[in-house]
Amino acid sequence: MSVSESPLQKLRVIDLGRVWSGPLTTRLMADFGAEVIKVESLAGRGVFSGPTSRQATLSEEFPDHDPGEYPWNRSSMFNDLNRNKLSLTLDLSMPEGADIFKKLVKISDVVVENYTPRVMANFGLDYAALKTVREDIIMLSMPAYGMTGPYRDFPGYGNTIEPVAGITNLVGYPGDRPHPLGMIAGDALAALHGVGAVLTALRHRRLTGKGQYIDLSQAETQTSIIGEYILGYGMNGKSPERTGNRHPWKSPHGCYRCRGEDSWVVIAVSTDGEWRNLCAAMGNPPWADDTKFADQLSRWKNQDELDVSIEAWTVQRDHYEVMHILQKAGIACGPVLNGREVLNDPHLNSRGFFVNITHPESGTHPYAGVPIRPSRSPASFRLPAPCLGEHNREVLGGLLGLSDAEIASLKAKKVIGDTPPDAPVT
Amino acid sequence: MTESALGVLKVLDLSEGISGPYCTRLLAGWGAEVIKVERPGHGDCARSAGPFPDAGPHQEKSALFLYLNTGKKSITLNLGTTTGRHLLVELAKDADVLVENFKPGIMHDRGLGYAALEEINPRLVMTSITAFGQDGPYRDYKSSGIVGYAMGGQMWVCGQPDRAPLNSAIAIPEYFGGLYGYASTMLALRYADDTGRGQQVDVSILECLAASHQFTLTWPAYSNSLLVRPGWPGFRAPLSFYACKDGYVNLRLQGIEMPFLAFLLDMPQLADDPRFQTLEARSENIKVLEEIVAGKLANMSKKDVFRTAGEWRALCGYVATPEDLLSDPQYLAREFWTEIEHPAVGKLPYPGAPVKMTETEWWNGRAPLLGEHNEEIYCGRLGYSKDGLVRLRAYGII
Repeated sequence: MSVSESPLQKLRVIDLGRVWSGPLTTRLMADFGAEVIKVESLAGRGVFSGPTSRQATLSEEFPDHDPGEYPWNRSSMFNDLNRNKLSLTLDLSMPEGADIFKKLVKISDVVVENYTPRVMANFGLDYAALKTVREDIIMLSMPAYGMTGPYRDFPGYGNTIEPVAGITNLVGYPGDRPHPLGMIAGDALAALHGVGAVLTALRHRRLTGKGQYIDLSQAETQTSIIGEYILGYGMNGKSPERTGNRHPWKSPHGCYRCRGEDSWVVIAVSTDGEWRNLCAAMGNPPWADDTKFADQLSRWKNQDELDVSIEAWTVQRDHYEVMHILQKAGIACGPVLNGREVLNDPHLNSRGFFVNITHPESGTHPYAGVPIRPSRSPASFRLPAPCLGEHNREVLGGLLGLSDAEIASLKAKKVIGDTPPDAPVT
Repeated sequence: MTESALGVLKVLDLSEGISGPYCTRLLAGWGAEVIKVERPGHGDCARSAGPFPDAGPHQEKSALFLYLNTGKKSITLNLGTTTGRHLLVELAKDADVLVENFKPGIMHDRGLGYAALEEINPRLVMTSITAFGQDGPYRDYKSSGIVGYAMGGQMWVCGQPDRAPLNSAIAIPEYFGGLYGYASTMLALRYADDTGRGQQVDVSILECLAASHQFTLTWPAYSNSLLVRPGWPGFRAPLSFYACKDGYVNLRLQGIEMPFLAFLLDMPQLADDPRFQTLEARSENIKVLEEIVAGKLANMSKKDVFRTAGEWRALCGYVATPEDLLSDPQYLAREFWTEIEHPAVGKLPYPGAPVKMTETEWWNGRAPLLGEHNEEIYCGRLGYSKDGLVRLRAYGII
């Protein structure tokens, strides 16, 4: 698969995204053939996106726990979210940096950023400024709460935005207090709404010749996946209850312990027919004949007791084994997989979901691939995540035509570089 | 609408539930004509899922259905009949996009697989969203929200270490499927515009989840370590939830600025209390600090705490209920809510555009009644007479 057949061929994207949401937005574009240039400040691979000093390594994971000589190039999270991209370092607070950025915008199609709203304006690089450089530029800003409104300048990460967006209120063990999601959903929700909006804007540009500005509030994109609860409240004035592993009407519906340490399976039974199949699959135990479990409503009312009996069966078995037994009986069921198990899952591997990527400073590791498989224009994996400033020369000299002397002068002035300012002396 | 990004697009939506319909909600919102093809009688399964008004279930009053199907048209069609399949083929001839979330193989068994549809419309983009994808050993397995969340790796890290893993209970897997479905549809449309060729896109919800988290996969891949419950929020710098008098807020005490905390709690002496000055000292005395904070916050309002924190640029969130959201000053200022009138449930506030675009207008149409557009599509589009429509209905085809 060559890049020339990719749907985003010839598209140039500038990625100012930090941490997770912004980089994931542009990763999807890069995977489908766009040339994505990450514009990074030298100190920009911060706590979450790749530490700049050995002290910060506490909050990251490195190959075999070893930060190595250049930890900012060995961050698992950064390397995961930034494959297929180029890295250009640029200090946008310096006039030379902002000037080069504008030259790059002139030959680009899309700019993606997830700073707090003041940052781009402070650099003199907001949409109004970039539009004077490139009339049809498409710019996506994705701050926590949007570019306007009273919370505009409030900081936020996925796990502080999810409560405000209404998600956390719906999560928790029944009868217990709200519980944060173990894995933040917010960043990916912002990224996916963001990439959808950029692709929509590209189509708009193709039809009309016009670029545009996309103002994405991460909170609003999160609230967009709980619309039914908001509308439900509008209808009946009732705040939804936290159901945890229970379901409003399905039963049994829950998470059951299996053989082995911290090993679990989930089972969701929707109909009386499925219930009979479940009983048969468990060997028709006598307790299952109790009238307490005879129909859906009775099972739902007596689910505490039901769950104990089901768990007595699952706990003797491996979680995958339970899935195969029950799925063969036509019941929705699956193991609760930890990260290692996801990486080894036979189904995901048989579909070739994981891609092995070799990074010059981190080695070879499997990474999650792309969950979108167009039959004619699939994603491609061309480059590992870039080392800091790895493509300075290629972008500045090759794309923008700067001379060696000009590039050397930028380096001397610390507009560009390849080592964070607080890096330890080695 | 012709000036809109998707204004000339025709979309056939055979999907039901959440994943496919959220994908087509976005297509309809940005201006495409979405014709929803529903089973005669019951229609989309979301019509029988709640929440409902107090009076109880009604196929035109499901909040889930009404939210996910704004701006679409509805026709009924029985794809189990030869005539029904023939009518679908007629509609597919000039469609740009077909979205479906049947179990793999069903479209093919009905003679409506991509190979068959491609023959009559080579430009057609067919977006197929399923639980496990179109091939592989679990292809025919049954799924549900909790199964997707469990197998994607999210659930194992959610909840308390000494309790069972916790399902999110909200429809995260299905919405992820819809969002990736939308992106894949737009990518395939761009390819069709460039090459004149359509294609089928295989979207697996399991893979959508496996591709949408951090640490869960990279840690074992990089160092054979595992993120464990309670997952990211408890990861090295805990964000703790505290009870206020009217709900909950979360604050990260580890890195918090003490002058802010002193101001928030109206305890000036905290600002330079030596027990909390350095990160090391604070770690040692974190239980003391937590007690002070919990005691004070119990008498404060969650929204006041959140606003004060925001003004100090401190990381904080408040746990918003639907009621809070509908009156939240930020959501109101940005006009996120949109009132939509519907004949069965009247006027209600809905979430509007998920993002704000300066040139592409978001279309806030209401959800259709079951089969509301049968006459418009079958008579107006396919040329059936009123009598013909009556016959189709009598034969159980529509």
